[in-house]
Formats: sequence, structure tokens, C-alpha cells
Amino acid sequence: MNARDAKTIRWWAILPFLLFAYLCVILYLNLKSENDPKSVPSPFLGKPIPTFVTTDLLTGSAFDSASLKGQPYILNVWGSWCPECAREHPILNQYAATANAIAIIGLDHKEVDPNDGKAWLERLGNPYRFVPVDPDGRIGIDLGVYGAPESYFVDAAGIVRYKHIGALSLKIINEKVVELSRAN
Amino acid sequence: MRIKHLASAPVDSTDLNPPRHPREGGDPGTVGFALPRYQFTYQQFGAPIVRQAITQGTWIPAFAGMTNGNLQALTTNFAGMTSGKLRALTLLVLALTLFTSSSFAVDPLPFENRAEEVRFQKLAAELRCLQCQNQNLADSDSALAKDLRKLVFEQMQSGKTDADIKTFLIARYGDFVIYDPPVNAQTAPLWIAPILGFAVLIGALIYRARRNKTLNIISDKNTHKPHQEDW
Repeated sequence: MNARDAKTIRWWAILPFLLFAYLCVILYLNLKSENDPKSVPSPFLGKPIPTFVTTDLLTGSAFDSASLKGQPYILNVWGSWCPECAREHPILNQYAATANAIAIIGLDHKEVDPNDGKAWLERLGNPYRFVPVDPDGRIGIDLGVYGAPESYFVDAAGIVRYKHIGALSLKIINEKVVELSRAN
Repeated sequence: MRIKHLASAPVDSTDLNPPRHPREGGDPGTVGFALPRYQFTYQQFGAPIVRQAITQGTWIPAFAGMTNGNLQALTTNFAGMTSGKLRALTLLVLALTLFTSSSFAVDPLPFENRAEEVRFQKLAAELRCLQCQNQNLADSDSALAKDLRKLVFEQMQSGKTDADIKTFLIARYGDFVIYDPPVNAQTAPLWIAPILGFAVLIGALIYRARRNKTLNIISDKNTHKPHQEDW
């Protein structure tokens, strides 16, 4: 065995350790990242949000989502049955109360009894400009909703720019709203 | 002793009779595609008997020696229990979960024939439940899975093909909704990487083998020593 061979053997010996270190780095980065591995990217990102026609929970009048075009808005999917929505709600109230806040549309998703939804908004406050209802969940399916709360950030052209799964934070809302206005 | 405190709910006699398929004389209004497999697992281990024992206050050996106070504690909190009794309870609870679990979620879907039912089950097994993510649409009992099963069924009724239904769901939920990932720009590395890695490995082995041969021939010529393995 000559010196050249000895060198090659040493190089191979390091490889498992390099792989291990690489794995450690990858795992650590994923552990630290804020990406929820369970959140599924929406196929509507960068595409027009599907339109829907339903009624408004509070006024009872017809609601056509196509009428929202021209202004950026947040479509927030909630239900009085959803505990995480109740946790998120004060943040929406807080955002809606700020100056220059964009409209939040609250899709009342799979509400068994509309009175539950009304009572819920009465109790926790209403940050929503409109509250379209989706009792059988069909609008939710068309939007690709798989749990509440979910929020779609839609720009003035009606294009979905961001979808948030789970409760929003004020930081995320402000960040994404800025991106929405920049998109125009 | 009796364990009436464990479950105070009245005995529901309908609960003791597992759902039956309409073909086997079940009520088509409330029972959909309860597969024989589901009914079989349910009856096989005598789950109704165990449940009856609990709800009717029959003596169960695992609870022997427990005072009523202990059992009351069971229903409210676990304080005051010895580890042995706790273990016995855990075992019983585990056993019960074994009995009551079923591999198919049951919906009241009015299938016209067996072929349609089989087609539905096959399709539902190929679609992912987005709420639970580790289950397919056929297995899951989540609200969304129920809605999507209903939707898949309706689309089947309206004459849509399996591919149509999958396209419909992918448009809304993305590729994640199907278990078989398509080859596209995003998933290409997943398909190519193993092949590439394997090719590199094979290449390296061939290179080494050839070089060793050459080296050995040279060393043989020079020194006339026998072959040396270097790895």
C-alpha cells in the first residue's frame, strides 16, 4: 500500500461525517424555520381568487365576491365552532381599528346555525366589512380551505398573493398588506 | 363490586348492533357503505359485550379491589390511584380503542351497485385528507373528509371520470391532495436525485476497480507480489 492509497482512504473516511454534519444543519434549519410543515401551499397563489355568490350573515342581503375587485382585501375563513378563530379574533379587531386598514371579509365557514355566528360576532366584536356565509362548506372547497382559520391576502386585481393557515399575527398582517399594495 | 360510576350514560341498545349494509338488510337511510370488514372487526372481539359490561355495571376483573371512591376518581381525575390500578385501566382503555377503531369511515352514501362502491373506495383511498394529512379520504372521519367524500360521490354520479375528479381537487388543494406525486419542475429532483446518486456511486466503483487493476498490474510487474486489497 503506497502513500497515495492511504490518502484516498482518509478522504472516504471523512464522507460519513460530512453527511452527518450536513444532515444536522438541514434539520436544525428546518427546526428553526417558521414554516409549518403541515401547511399546504395554495394552488391559487399568483392566480385569481375563485368568485362566489352567497348571502351576508348580518344583513341577509346577497353577496357577490366579484364586487370586491378594485381594492385589496383579506378573506378570513372562520366559524364559531373554531377555537383557534376565537384566539385570532382580537388581532383582527385590533388590525381593523388601525388607520388605513384594508377590508377584512369574514367567510363564516360551515356554521351549523347562523345565530351561533351572529352571537359569536356580537360577543367578540366584528372586524369584518362583509360576512358571507358558507353553511355547507362548498365555497370553502372551491377556495381550497382545509381548516379554519385561514386567510387569503388578495390584491386589487383579485389575485391571491398570500395564504395564511392558522391564526394571524399583527406582524404578519402588516407585512403582507404592505406586499399587497406593492403588488399593484 | 359494581362500576356504575365509570359511565353513567344509559345503555343505547342501537349502539350494540353494528351498522349493516342495505344489501344485508340494514337501513339504507342511515347506513352507507359499511363494509363487511368493518362489521367483522367490530363483532369479532366482542366489543359490544365489553361496552355493555361497562355501561350496565357488570363486574370486571381488572377493577377488582377498587373502591367506589377510586372509580369516582377515574371519571373526574386520576388522583389517588395506585400504579397497578392505573395500568389496569390503561390496558382496558387501550383494549377498547382497539375494538372500536374501524378502517373505514362510514357515510350514508346511496350507492347503486357494488362496482360503484368499489370505484368510490378506490378513488377515496388515493386522495389525501388535508385536515389529518396522514390519512386518506376513505379512512378519515374529519369534517372536510366527509364533505369531500360527498363531493367525490356527487361528481361520480354526474358522470365525471376519476381523472376529472382528481383534476378538480388538485385545482383547489394542489398536488398534495393526491398520494401519487406528478413529475414536474418542482418534484423532478425527487425523481432524478436517487438515479443520479446511484449512477455516481456505480461510476466511482467502476473507476476504483479499473484503477486498482492497473495499479496491481504495475505493482505485479515491478515486485511480483500477490494482489493486495486496499479496501
